[in-house]
Amino acid sequence: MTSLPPQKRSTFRLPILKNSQILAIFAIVCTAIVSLVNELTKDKIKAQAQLQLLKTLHSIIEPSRYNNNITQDCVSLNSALLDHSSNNKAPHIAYIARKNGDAIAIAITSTAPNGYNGNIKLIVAINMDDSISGVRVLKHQETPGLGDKVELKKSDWITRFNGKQILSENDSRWAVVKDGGMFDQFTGATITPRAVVKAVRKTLLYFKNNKQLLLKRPNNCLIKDQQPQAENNHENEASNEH
Amino acid sequence: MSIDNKELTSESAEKLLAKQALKAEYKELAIQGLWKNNPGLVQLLGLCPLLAVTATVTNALGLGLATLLVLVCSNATVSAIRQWVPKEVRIPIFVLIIAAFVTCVQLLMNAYTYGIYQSLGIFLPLIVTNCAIIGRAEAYASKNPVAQASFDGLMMGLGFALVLFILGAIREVLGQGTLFDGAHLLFGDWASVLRIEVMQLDSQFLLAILPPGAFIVMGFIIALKNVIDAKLKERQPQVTEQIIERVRVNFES
Repeated sequence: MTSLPPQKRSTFRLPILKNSQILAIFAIVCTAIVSLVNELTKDKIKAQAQLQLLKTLHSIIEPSRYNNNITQDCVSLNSALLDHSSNNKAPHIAYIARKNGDAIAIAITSTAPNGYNGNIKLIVAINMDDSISGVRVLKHQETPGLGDKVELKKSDWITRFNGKQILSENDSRWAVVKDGGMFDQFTGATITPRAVVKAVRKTLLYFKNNKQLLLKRPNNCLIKDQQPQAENNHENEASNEH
Repeated sequence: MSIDNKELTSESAEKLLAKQALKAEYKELAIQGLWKNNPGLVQLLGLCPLLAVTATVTNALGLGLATLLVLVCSNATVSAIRQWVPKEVRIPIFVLIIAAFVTCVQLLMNAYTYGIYQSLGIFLPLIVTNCAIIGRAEAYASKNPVAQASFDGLMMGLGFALVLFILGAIREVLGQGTLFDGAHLLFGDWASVLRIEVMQLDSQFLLAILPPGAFIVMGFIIALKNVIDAKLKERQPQVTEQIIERVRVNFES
């Protein structure tokens, strides 16, 4: 009366035990399959990301101007000047293009926090003489058809930065035409180009003030299992000594 | 001798009958997946990615093919293991299998079609939540042999991909005036020649590219399907005993 007979209890318990075992087995098998695929595609994915990066870098710094492995020659930087959004703590990266060891240009990733629809991620390449070599938008969620003209695919607006320089900290030309500057806004979209111009301006100022420091930082982007391993490691050690 | 012959003929007749039944089943599966019970147009499942990524044909095809692959694989696996899966825990197991396949497809697309992987963004992992896939696993694959289940997955996937393709084509033509823009991201560099400039637009028809445009175009496509269904019915007035069925996700309910 007080408690169930033992057999009945076990019939209650057994299915639970069996089911959880089966579930566990499936979980293990599925995880194993996913890890296997991950292991198989890992290198290819890394190579794809590098290729993509190299393509972008090539488009903003003429490949004939440098001869180092630019995707593996970079420093990470954490500057309030480059990024004002508090929710994005990913460090920005500066890729250094060198010709025979001398730096000729640096490509810095930057974030425009005040786009029409969230952050706009940019990469800004600057020559050592403080002129812009090229700018590209890496990622954005601006309105299709209006704000997305910052993409090179949609419009050549982004190429107007090429060769531009900044004269002083408060150079009034670095704004959209509507605000008295030298960069056109788009019909129906002023906020997006304004945000991009501001971010590029900030990056340029940061570069102007810190370019020597940037070159002294240790290299962050070495990929260990690649061919020019010894040489790069040596460079890394050398820059560590500074 | 004569008995033997008789047996043989009856056996072969049986075989023939079974073959015909199988053929009929495959035909029925194809019709169900592509038209009568199309996941996009009739079941209206998986609409979130369907509406979100169909701004261009290339994106639509990318998601369609990924869903097709996941659907075939998950249906085949669910069918293959159906004897060992207890009824009580089948849903978590199906979800596990589907999630594993989606992750694998995602990794493979990341490795081999990087551009399309980037433009699909969050909607690739979201295939896991596409109800059409777990719906097929639960309604068909868990009760039928591997071959039929795979075929069902293929047809349902094709039906879904077809809707994506049509929706993508209409939206891309209206919104950008092109077709197959960026096809090289999906198929490799040779596919750049596929890009067609259908018409030159001075200003883009924004509504078609934005999500509300997807809803509107989708509504028109469903309406068109209903019109065609009505026309087909008119043409065959002799089949009057046909019962009007509810839209079924599950074949039993």
